[in-house]
Amino acid sequence: MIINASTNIIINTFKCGVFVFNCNGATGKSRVAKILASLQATGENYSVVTVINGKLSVYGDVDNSTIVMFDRFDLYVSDEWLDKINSIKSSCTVMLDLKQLEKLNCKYGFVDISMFEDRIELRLI
Amino acid sequence: MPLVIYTDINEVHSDKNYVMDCEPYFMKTGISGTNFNKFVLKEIENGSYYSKNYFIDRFGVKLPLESLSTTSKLAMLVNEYSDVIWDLSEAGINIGYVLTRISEGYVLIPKSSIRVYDWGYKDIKVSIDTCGIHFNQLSDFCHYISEVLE
Repeated sequence: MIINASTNIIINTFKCGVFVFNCNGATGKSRVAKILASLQATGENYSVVTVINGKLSVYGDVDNSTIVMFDRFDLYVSDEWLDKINSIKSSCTVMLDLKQLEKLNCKYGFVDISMFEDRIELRLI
Repeated sequence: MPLVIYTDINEVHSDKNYVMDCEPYFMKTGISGTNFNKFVLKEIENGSYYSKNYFIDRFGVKLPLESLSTTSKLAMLVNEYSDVIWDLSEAGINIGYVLTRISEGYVLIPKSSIRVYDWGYKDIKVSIDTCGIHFNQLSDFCHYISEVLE
């Protein structure tokens, strides 16, 4: 699957479920979130939840997207959001930027992210 | 004064400013061209310093300040504002190595994260306080958090 943007995002396969990014910093997670949010604004079926300027920001319709990304999830992880993830995980790809994995209450895989000059590759494992 | 590491939010003293979301703070601060900030850019971003408002990324591209990773922003803020308690819950594990170069400041690192941080492999001198214990050597600190800390 290729998501076309100024920096392309290439995902190895489409899978429904919950996938967590690895715990290193500066791998390109927030860049993926920005790209998906900007594509959502042009009508693509993606959603992004993040914190901007201290406020929770939701881009798109989380309940009806093919890809939902929760960026900076450690800042707002809550039972409410975990319930939401559990309710949508069977119908879309949920990607989480979360370091405190013990807070997750569902099965999850991992997102292996590799950043290149012209693209970002995501591998759902 | 050492780098004080809290591992539980209940340990955090209320007389100090505690910051969970670093982004608004960072955008007011900018990047000063200190040796430490250049070190952070090299170690975490694999990039380099350009100016107060820009940095060079790993591909040689000049990017604005907001494109820096949250991990780099946190590392720079911890070093710059040593009177603030910085919540590192969302920091990447590669912040550990640069934290060992900070001699003064306050951070909160959840117990679940502190054990998996990449603290580096060289047994260097450090000045870290955690759980009321002072550590001068990185190896002693790493032994404590991996073998003793519950």
